[in-house]
Amino acid sequence: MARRNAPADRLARLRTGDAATVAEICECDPAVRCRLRDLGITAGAPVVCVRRAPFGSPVVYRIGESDLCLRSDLAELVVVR
Amino acid sequence: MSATCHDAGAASAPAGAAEIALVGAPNVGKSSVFNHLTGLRVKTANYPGVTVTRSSGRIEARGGMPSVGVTDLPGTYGLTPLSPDEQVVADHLAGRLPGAPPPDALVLVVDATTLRRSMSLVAQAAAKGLPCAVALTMTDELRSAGGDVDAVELGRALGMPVVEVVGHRGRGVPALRDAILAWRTWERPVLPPPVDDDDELAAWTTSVLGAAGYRAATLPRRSRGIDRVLLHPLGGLLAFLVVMAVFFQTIFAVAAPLQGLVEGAFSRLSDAASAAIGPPLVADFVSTALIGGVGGVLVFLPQIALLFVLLALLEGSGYLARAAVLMDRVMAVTGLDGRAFVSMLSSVACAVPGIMSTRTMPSSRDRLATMLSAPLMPCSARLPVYLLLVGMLVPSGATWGPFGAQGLVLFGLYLLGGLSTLVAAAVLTKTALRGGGLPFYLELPPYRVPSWRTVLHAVGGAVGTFLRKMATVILAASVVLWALLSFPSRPAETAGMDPADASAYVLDHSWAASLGHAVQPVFEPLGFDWRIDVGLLGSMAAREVFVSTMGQVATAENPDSPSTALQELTWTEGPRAGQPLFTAPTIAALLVFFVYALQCFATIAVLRRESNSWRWPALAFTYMGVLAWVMAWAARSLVGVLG
Repeated sequence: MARRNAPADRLARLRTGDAATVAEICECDPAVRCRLRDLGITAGAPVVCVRRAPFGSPVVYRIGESDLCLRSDLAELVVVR
Repeated sequence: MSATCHDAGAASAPAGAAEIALVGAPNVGKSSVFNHLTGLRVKTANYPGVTVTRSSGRIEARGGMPSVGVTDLPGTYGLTPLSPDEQVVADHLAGRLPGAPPPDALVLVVDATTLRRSMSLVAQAAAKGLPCAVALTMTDELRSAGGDVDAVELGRALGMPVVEVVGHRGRGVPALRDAILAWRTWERPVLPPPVDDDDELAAWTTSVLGAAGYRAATLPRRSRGIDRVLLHPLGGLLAFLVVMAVFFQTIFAVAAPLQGLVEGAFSRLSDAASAAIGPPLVADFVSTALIGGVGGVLVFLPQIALLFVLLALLEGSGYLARAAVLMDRVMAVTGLDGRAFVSMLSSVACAVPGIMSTRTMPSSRDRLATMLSAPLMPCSARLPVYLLLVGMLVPSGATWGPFGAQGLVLFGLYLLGGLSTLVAAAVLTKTALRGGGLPFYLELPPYRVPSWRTVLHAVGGAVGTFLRKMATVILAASVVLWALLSFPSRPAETAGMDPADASAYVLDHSWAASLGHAVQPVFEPLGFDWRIDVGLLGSMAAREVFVSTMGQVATAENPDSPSTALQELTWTEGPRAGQPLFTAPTIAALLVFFVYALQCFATIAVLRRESNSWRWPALAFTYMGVLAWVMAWAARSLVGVLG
């Protein structure tokens, strides 16, 4: 069952099954920010933490209409609520 | 469909013809669209300085419209460059790349099932100021999952032509082809889409999708259910092992007999040639160097073809992305990501197709690190050498607990090669190849049935590239090696000897032998004498040649029982004259030497081709040579101490 998280949490800290909405992307390289946007990670996009890979990384997220795997380095940059 | 070969040259369309570039994310079916548009006449070229490639083809003139060149750019989610590879593509699009004029128009290949996200790329492309059109793929998938979109309305809202294309069936391709030929008549958006402000872009996206009647897919996707198993900690890894086992079994079970056929055919051809040709030197040249050389090149084809078929099936079905996810944590330790795993694993059959398979990796730096460490994977050519030497080192009945000692040593050699590959990749990404990597992200496409057309194109491309660009280097190297081993031919001294003795005499006094004597001081600390050094030189053609070269030497000594003859060889000169050559420390050193040294012209040729310069193969050859020497010496010392 999806749970609501505490405000201003990070994508990387969502637990399996949690749903949230993207709030913003943290301070980072502008090219990285553009790439995250191009991947569909924009303010207001719905995200669900679908599952973790067997060794814990990467994590499969459903972002909008597609399944995307991220490691914690990029997931830490995404603020969700 | 004609399939002529073009020479290496800049454009495949006549000078002055327009050039259209295909832009789109990975997994949208862009290569499928490209293959449909261009047929079999495709050339691949490297961008300068990076290992990323672009393919070009041509749409023939029809209906009064002139022909148009089509370039397939590397898949990307956005046009803001994040790595040196992407910078080169961005430069190409902006016309900043010397010698590569920018395209005249862009076709954006967009996946209807990820339409909302794709609007970002469409907006960025439209903002470049070039005429754009959209090829909308996967609309059949969208509709069968409960979604919908009106392509005509979408085109109206975007202000550019939109053509629906169903990749598998080729439906919509003729319309797309006609639209591309008429690129000068494409309408352009009145206002450029807002790319600078994220909120404005989001608002624009919503309004365009609304006008197009876009409805996202509602039914749960079957892929999610399959992933519950295939990405499950236990089930997923088990399934992965099964898939990999089948992968390997197929390569060895199917490729090996085909290779045997090729080798057999060329061996008969070679014998026929040497029987038919009078002068012995010419006969030897034609049969061993030429026919043997060509055979030595063609013998790679079954493995390359089969590997690329299997990889295309894995990729087309969507499973390859899952495999990369499963292995990513392991590969992250080396500074690479899960995508490198399959290429490395493929190198266990043969490094040549394994290195070629790295071309799908999006980052040049990851690609290079994988290519330069893959030759350390224990390839099948090492096996005959291992079997020969392990047989000399370990008595056949010996056991260690419940396991046969010979098998254990063999397994240990394989493990050593595999681990060394990972360590080499880790060192490379932290030293020579520091920087230039991409942060990791990987989209999991829905599971699909792979299209035979895509598989065919993948195999054709790989085999074609191998034959056109790597075969000549390998052939040239074989001829040079043959010359080193056969000259000077010493007809006077060998006049009275029988053929086996004569060839052994020539070998012992050839230029290769002189080279062997010359480098003997380098290898003496390892326990190798000049004859082993000649064998090492011969194994540059193919590692298994070491076995036959040593066999030639041994047969000369004792024609009846070459294997015992090998054991009984003694040093012919120097401080150890008279002592046995193949002592346990020496055999151990030789085994470990073969684990590490880059002894394969074909691999060097492939590295040269895929990395676009001689620098990288030179680096690989050097570092592996040094590593081989050091590790062989360590093995020798260890075995000497353990006695």
